[in-house]
Amino acid sequence: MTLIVNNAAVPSGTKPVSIRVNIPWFLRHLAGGVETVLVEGSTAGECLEHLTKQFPALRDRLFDTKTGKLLYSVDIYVNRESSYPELLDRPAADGDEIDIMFIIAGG
Amino acid sequence: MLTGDELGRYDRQIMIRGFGREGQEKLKRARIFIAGAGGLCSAVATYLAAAGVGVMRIVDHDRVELSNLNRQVFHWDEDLGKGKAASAIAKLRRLNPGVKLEAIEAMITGANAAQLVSGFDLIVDATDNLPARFLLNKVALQKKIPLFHGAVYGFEGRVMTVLPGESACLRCVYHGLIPEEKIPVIGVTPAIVGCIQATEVIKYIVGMGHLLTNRLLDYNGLDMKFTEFRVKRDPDCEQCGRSIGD
Repeated sequence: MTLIVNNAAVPSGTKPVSIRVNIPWFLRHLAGGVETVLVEGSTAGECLEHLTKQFPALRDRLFDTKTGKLLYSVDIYVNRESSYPELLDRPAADGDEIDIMFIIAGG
Repeated sequence: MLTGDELGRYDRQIMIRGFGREGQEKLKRARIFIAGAGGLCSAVATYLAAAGVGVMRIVDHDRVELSNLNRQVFHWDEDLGKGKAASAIAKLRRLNPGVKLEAIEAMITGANAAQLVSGFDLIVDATDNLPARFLLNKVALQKKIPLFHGAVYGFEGRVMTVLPGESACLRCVYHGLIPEEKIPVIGVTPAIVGCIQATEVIKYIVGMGHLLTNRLLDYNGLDMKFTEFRVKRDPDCEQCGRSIGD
């Protein structure tokens, strides 16, 4: 079960956490309609793993279904800073904020 | 040297502290290359023409289609089927006859990109696909011409300014590719993003303010938020990294 607190999704039955993952506007329908989900994890990868456990429909929008790797079209920012080249290995801690950024190219 | 008419026309911006006649003269001397004559260009080129830049070359190989008209406000019903670059130039001539304008109906390719941008002071990236953007980025780096990037998707847009040899380039930020697809977009998004690009161009030419270098500005029209993301040069960047050199 997932609770919605201050427009952020909080998984019930877990210890309090404060890593926030901001959901791109066009994927929010796959994440209960919320802007932000609270997650646990010590790396960006673990945080996204926790995110996709709460909202499984997000998984194949973020990860290659065959290799399990982050899609080439996705970049991860932690505290507004690019996690490249560490990407999923980038450390994360309480209070951090993670943004999922898709490449956009329209003109 | 500004004429009397020009002093009158640009009076309100010449009044801006730090802008002055000197800033206006810099704009008048500026030669701007714009890649793409769609939604972003409709905003960028309009405000650069209104501001009184010297020369603009607009390059686009497409022709105006009905589905362009929700956002590419340069192109009107009467322009359906016409070349987009020529359609854009026709409107700009009426807006400001003092700007020297050139339309080129061509696809920007690896074979012609360097020649197309030759002689221009800066490049505005107003294209609609990633391969063209990476190509412009590469040429900008090679020829050391500043690149003003803008992109949109739906209600979201991004802007970044690239100073070759000094700041992160587009390839430092975007490492992958995306499949070519029809992109959803509402007209107000490229209007806002294009105006920010034009602001960056004017600031760069006049020498005012702080540019969006090493900063990727994300605009989310649905949440009505502007978020700034820090980016940095990637030492291993395939277009501006150590192996390429400055």
